[in-house]
Amino acid sequence: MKRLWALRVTMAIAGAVFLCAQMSAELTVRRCRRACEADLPAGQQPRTFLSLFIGKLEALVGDVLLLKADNYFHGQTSLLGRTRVGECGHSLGHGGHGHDHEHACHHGPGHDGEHHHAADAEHVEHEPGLSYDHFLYRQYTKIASTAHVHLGQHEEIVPWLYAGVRLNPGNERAAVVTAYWLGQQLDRPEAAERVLRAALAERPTSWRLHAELGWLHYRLGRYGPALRQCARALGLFEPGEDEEQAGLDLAELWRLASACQEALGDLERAVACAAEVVRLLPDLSAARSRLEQLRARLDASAGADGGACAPPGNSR
Amino acid sequence: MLASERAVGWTMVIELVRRKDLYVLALLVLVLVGAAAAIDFFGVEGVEVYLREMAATLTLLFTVIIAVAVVARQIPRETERKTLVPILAKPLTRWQFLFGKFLGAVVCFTAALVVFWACSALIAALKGVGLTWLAMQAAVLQWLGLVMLTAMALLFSALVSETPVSVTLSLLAYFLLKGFTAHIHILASGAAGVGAWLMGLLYTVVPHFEFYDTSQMMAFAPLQRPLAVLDWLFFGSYALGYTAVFLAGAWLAFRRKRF
Repeated sequence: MKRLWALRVTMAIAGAVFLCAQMSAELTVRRCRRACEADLPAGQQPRTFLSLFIGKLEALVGDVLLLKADNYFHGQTSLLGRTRVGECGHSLGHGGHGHDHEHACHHGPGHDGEHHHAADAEHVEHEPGLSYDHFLYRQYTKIASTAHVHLGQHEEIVPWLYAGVRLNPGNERAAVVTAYWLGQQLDRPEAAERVLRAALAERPTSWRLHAELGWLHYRLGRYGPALRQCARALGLFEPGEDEEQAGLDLAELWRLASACQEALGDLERAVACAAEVVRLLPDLSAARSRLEQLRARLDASAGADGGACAPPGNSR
Repeated sequence: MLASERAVGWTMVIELVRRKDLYVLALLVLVLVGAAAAIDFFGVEGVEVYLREMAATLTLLFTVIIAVAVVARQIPRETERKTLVPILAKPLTRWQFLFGKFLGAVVCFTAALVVFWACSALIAALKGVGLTWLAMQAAVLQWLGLVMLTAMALLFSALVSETPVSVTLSLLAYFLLKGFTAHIHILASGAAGVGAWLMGLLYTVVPHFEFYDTSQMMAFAPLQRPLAVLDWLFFGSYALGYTAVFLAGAWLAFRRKRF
């Protein structure tokens, strides 16, 4: 009887703790939602179906699925494994939002030089495990692989990207990463465009989505639409809290504008846009050398029309 | 040898066959894995890891449900129906009764595991996704973890008198332990002094069900290495050791139980 009494008391306490935890979680969710709705300007109120229920947490849903894709990309060591195997120096792609600017700039105007790691077929690195010396943990590491093994087949991440953008088409982060993988790594530009357009239907004011669509058009040789998307992105551009990242993002847009202008034959505007890149990233030697090359070509072309490079437009 | 235990265990197998749980869950495996296999991911071909992981996760989850549902209700239900006293009046010790229930549960969840795996493998094969032999080591580890879980559920079954309480406690303990113990080492590696010592003690004492959740191992089987014999001995003896502890606990609780 005593044992039963103790068990009942324990269960009652456990139940109470469980209920408190549930209430706390519910309150946290409500607080997050209220905070995000208060933060957003009127034109950017959440528009997706999912956001009606969970507000800003909708981004979390997409992020969780992105993490899962990242987990696959890193051959199961990344998600919680980061705590086991240490930080990894490369990511699934786009680093969440931005591009690998320095690397990209070294490889010309396109995106082709980016994500150098993603292009690797497969590599295996044995990274140091978490510094926890317990015989059980040592055994555990034998089955929970601490080896950093990248999947050789990048298509394996697609199901999670697919789930992310289908569940929440308005998640710009998921859409941008999915479009990057489909368009650049898996040779599915038409699918990438569909994903971006679906995301833009949900979030028409997202400069990142316009920028990614611009890059996609550029890679497909559609320089006019690419420039138009770039212009919209520049018009909608909003710097985030990270000033350095904002500078990199803006430089990336000017780089696209410069590349499009160059492809369309307007070298003077291309030079002006490249000069914006140098102004934003003065230490980037690749940007400076590209500007010099463009200037040399402009000087060489005697019959070029004049005119300062206006920003490629402000759609608003 | 073990004739009495076999007789007790056999009734559980018959019960599993008669009840609808196994069939419903097998159908669910077919539907869920089949639906996942049928999705067209932007026309990208050769996608298979997600399917292996999904199959492994569903198989483990549903087998856990079957194992707990079968074993956790045994003693409370026998008590509620007042069938326990007539059984124990036969030439059958309480330990034999308990061990028979345990053996029966092991046979039941093994059968469920095989059925669910067959369903998953069928769908995977239809999609052209094969299982490598290295996935087998993950399956064996899963089985060892389920043996441990069954013994724990039997302990709860012997401790409490109500079936729902026993089932809930077993499932809660399994999922909480699996989730919590997988992260103790992270807390421990950041702790110092007495905290680190206590964390180390906790990490040593608490049963590690996460060792035997090998869904990801199965999904990434082509990238896995085969386990060494010594490692097999470790994981086998760890699971059997805790199984023995749980069974001993169940026997201690059951031998003085009054009905």
